[in-house]
Amino acid sequence: MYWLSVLIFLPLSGALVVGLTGRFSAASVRWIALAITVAELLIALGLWWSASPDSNGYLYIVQAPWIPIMGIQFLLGMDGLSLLLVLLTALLVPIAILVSWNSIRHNWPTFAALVLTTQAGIMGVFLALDLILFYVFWELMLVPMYFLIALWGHERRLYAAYKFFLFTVTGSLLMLVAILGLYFIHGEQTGIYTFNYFELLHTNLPGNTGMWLMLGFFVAFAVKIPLFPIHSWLPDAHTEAPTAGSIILAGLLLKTGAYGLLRFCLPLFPEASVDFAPFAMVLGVIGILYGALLALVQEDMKRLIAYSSISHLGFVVFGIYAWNQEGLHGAMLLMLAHGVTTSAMFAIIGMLEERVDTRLLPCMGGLLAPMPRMGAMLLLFTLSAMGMPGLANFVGEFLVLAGVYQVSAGLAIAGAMGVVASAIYLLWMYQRAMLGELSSEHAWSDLDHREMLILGLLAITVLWLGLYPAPFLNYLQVPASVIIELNTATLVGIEDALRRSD
Amino acid sequence: MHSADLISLAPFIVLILGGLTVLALGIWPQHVSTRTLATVSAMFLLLGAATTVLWETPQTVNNMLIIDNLGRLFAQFFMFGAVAIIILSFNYAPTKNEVREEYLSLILFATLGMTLLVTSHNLVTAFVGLEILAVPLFALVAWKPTRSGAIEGGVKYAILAGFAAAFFLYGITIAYASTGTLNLAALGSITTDNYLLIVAATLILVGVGFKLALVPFHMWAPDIYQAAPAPITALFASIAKVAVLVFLIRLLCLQLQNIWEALLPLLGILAVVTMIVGNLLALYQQNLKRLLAYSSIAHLGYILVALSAGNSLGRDAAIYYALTYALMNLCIFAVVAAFSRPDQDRQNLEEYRGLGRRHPTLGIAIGICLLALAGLPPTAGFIAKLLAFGAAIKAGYLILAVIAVINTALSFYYYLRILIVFYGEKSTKQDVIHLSQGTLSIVIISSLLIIGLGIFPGWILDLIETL
Repeated sequence: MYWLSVLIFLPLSGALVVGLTGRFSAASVRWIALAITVAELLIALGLWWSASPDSNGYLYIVQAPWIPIMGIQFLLGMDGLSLLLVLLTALLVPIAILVSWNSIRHNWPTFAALVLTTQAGIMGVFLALDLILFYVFWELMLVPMYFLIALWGHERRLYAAYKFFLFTVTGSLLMLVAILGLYFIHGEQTGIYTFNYFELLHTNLPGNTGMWLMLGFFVAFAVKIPLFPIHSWLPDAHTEAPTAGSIILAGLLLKTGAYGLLRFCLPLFPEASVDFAPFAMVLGVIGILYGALLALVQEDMKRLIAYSSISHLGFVVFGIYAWNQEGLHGAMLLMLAHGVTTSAMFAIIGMLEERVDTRLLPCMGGLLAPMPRMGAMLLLFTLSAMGMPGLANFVGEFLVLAGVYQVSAGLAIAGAMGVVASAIYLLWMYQRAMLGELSSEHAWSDLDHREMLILGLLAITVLWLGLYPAPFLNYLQVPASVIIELNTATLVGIEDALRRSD
Repeated sequence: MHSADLISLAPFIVLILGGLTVLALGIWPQHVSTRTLATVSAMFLLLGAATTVLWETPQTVNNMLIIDNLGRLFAQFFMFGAVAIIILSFNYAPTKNEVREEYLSLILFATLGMTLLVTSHNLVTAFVGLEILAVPLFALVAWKPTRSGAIEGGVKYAILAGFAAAFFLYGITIAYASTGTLNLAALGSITTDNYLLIVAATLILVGVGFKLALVPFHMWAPDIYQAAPAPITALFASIAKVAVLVFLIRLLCLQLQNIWEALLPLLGILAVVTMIVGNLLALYQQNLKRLLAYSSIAHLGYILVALSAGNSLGRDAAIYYALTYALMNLCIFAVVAAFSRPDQDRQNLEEYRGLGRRHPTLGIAIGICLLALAGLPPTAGFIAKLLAFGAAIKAGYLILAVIAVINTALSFYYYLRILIVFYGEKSTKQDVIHLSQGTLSIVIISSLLIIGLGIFPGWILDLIETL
């Protein structure tokens, strides 16, 4: 299925044309970028339409030699998990472009080129099954993101962009070492030097090697997610990025970290991951509570949502390392839900900022009266973010907690405290922004058609995910059970070894 | 000497004839335009590159030169590189009317030195090549002596090159004293533990280390990079260094493999020190040319990581890295040359603020260069680092690879700083810059090659594999 390559190369070539020719006016560039991303969305929907959820394993595979001398292939594959994340990417990037429609004032061609390149990189990350190819896309999404923050961001943009880049690049370089380590160990054992994911899956890793290599991957993904001790780039990057940058960062880039855990960390190193799972879950729960506590005291709305992202992504890690049916399904659904909800929140904050020119909660208040439509939309997404039943995040959070409860009741209770805290900080945010006295005399204009279109699309997705998640869950069945089988196989293997040693 | 050897020697003869012809044109009764002189020298270089195609490989000439694919690859590379340097110099404003017969013949002779160095099969030939390369460089560094720092730079380089030559010669002497031969093949066949030979190789390594600016022999590099006119800095940083590096690769990896294995720990230590010192000194450097000098020191460290792996992958990685390194430096110094002021290069990084925006072609090129230097895909710099670090990991030196990786991450800090300055918003002074077609074409060709070799590294890797 060459459509997978189209998903990557369509935005990439669009970026080259828009960025290098420099022939287009700002107005036409916006339409071109929108057309490309909508075409991308249609392709993704088409792939979804023609895929059957029952088929075993991978729905589509693309394979071509790239650098045969080193065993590097152009290997793309799409299973249920990547399908849903590709859909999310295809949905959020046109929204990011629509959000920037009027707010980006200078240099539209470069901006559009960078957004499209980021999209190509993210698509590649979700599709690549050759480790070097994956690494290439992993870095490809980093550079344009850096420029989006550094050139179009807010006051402290350079600092935030640096921090974002240096954190992520250090993590990913350690992953590169781990990839190479795995490559050579596999090559020495079998004589086949390859970066092919399927071949590397069953590498026999002696002793501590597996743990070290797993940590190499884990650090790269943990920086992106971000997990507790290495999260500090995220509030800065989210706050300083332009709205489109925040949407791509929160909606998509954070998901690549969680996706990496699911696709590479657990399947490639099942033994090491089983040993590591308790630590990862503790890191996850620290992230949940820490993010929630810091969100409670934020004055800046973007920063508040950024910390709530740390908290929500803690749930995802929590669910992944609980390593059972409920936990994994919950984590995967929560990734989608968080992507949609948080993007909507950032979009709304961006719209507010265009009107009031501030993101600080103390400067707002009483905005519901002049802007009822915006108030209603923000309410919907706030309720979704705090886990209201019937909306997107609830299903994910509930399943994660159900999964974790089977592993450890204590951790599940601690995690549930995070849900409680999220209700507090989100409702308080809503109250401070929308209710109360109208603080300033200002000519308010409610959402226009473009903004209603953006939020309407996201609202439909949120309701769909919350009310009828079955079409999504169906696709997650196979990927989740593959990962669970690994766990059982590992545990059985450990038990066998113990029995033999008795 | 057989007549067949004439074909093997043809490129050398062409270069010598070229140098002499250009000099002779200078004393021609009628005035010969600079354009004619430059064209004639470029023609001789291209002719030299063409004659290497006729080489029948592998063979040796009188046991003094070895004619093989490695030599051919790099001889061609140097000659095309020298053409690029001539084009850059011709369009470079500060030495506009100074690029006459002396300058051009010096470049031709320097190219001769490089070619001799990479094809030498005898330590004495190597020494001769090294000196033929070094002497024109003293003069070129100090070109147009009225520039500030020009004489200082030339003298500094001359003294340090003298040191390097002394160490190198001392190494040669000890090698001869302990084995009675200077032929590389003969030296390579000595399998008994000959400690004197290891000492000799170490001394040669020190001599070469001066030329490559490895830490702790790196002091000269930033001064010379700053003092020399940008096209000459490009010559220094790209092909001249690579020639010495390829000689080192031939000496250790192809000929004296026993010695290579004995020197691995030393190479490893040099690699670590060179990377760390180069990167740390670059971090807060404000002068662009000095910063690039430190960055190229750090890059030599990464190449040494590959060499200290001690396996065939390490050798291939070092060769690939050498090519990439030369291309990246050529490209970035071509950009520096393009942005030069009428009297001298821009020195401080701040003087470049906003130039990338105003000149999009050069801006994109410098973006590609810096991302390649930083080692991001899909550039050749990434593949080079992948191979180099891969070689270290394959040899089991995981710690070395991790140190190299952390250094790479560190280097992002200053590469991004340059990039941000180039794309910064406020330009300080709106001085007019005349971009010449020649410089622009060099920049475009080299950045396309950097991208091309990054996406299809197979072109070169297949070739290197068969060397």
